[in-house]
Amino acid sequence: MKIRKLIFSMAGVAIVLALIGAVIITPTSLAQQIQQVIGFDPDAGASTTGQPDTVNTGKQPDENGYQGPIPMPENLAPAPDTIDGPFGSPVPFPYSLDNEPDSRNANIEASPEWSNFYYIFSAGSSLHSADYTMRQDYQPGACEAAVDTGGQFLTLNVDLPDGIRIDYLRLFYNDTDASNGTANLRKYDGAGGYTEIATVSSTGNVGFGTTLSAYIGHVVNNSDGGYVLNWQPIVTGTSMQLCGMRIAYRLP
Amino acid sequence: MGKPSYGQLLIRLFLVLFIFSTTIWISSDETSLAAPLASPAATDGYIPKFYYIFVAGSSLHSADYTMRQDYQPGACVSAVDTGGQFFTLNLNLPDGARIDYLRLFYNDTDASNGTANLRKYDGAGGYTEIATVSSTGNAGFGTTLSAYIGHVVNNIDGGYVLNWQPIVTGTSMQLCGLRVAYRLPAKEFFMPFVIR
Repeated sequence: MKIRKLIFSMAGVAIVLALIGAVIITPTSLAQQIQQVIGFDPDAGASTTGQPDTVNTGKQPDENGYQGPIPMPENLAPAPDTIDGPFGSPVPFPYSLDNEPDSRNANIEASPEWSNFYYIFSAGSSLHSADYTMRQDYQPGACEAAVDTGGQFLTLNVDLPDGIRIDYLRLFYNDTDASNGTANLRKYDGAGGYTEIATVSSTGNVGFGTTLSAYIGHVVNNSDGGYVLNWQPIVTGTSMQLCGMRIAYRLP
Repeated sequence: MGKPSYGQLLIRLFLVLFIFSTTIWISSDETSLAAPLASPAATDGYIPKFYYIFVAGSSLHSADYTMRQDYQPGACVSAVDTGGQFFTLNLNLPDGARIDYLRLFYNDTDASNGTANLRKYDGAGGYTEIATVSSTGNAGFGTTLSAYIGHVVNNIDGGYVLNWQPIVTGTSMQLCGLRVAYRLPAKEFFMPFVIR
């Protein structure tokens, strides 16, 4: 009887150890199995346990609990930059948008249900081409122009929390073309459909400028679609550049 | 009181293992969070704790068609055609957050050094350099930290962008990640979605 109990006890311990082992080993096994099924894995060769953690061998200034001196920046002279041009002092905001409908000091509706404005400001280079037939051409200051065709979208996912209200979309551009580039904010349903939430175009051909959409008043609901900012240049070349988009929203 | 059954023994064994592992996890986490901060800049008006945005290298995209990107294992990316353009990513942080550091993760076996920066663009061709950090040496995987930044986020007058310029082409220079360390204001524990 005692031998039987001993055998059962050992079997129980073995089961527990096997379960623990399975939890530890399974991720690697799964990865190997997946790779066998699908063939090429772009991550093949990468360490699944990571490289030696040089960050946590000792506390660094950007870690909680760091006790040492703060590494202060050197006073650098304006540096040459082949992409954006030299930098020196911080650049003041070039537009006077006070009292515009999407500014914080605008005469917005007296509505206790909603906060003042918050913003998401996306530079032009944050967007990427959604189609291989239209390549993007970086211009100084994070502006973007189109190559090959102007008929496709540069695009950016917009991540906003449920319940906030999108009130305005503002387009920043550098437009010296007779045509006008167009930005839109759309909600895509994952089944090929979409809802047009806002659209705004550049105007004139005098260069840098900004235009504001009509009032939107769309309350975000992430359960039934994804929000995307698009820009369609219409024409190719540096005469039409996207330099940024700004969403003004309010909190409930 | 009789002897416990085998089922009860197994349950007890599970409980012991669970409590043991949980105790280890909690104690290690508490240690890292409870440690005091030495930097005066770290505590004035801000929650004495870093928050992070960690983006893998492959999260960035080429901002210019003349530089194509080449995926490397582990979400690292290298450049094809030229090393003179940017891989880029929009950085979305709430108003009032203070950006303290930018950390670059790389795989650099080249004599040159790739450079990452955080810039704020004003929508009219201008920008402000907020931070810059480069890879060092040529020993492979590594990480470097920027100098202290202390920039308070304001989304009304510009967009924040993370850029990486590889300088050279080929797999000898890879971007593997960027990490922004930031703090939240103590008074307005904002996450704009919490405050009014």
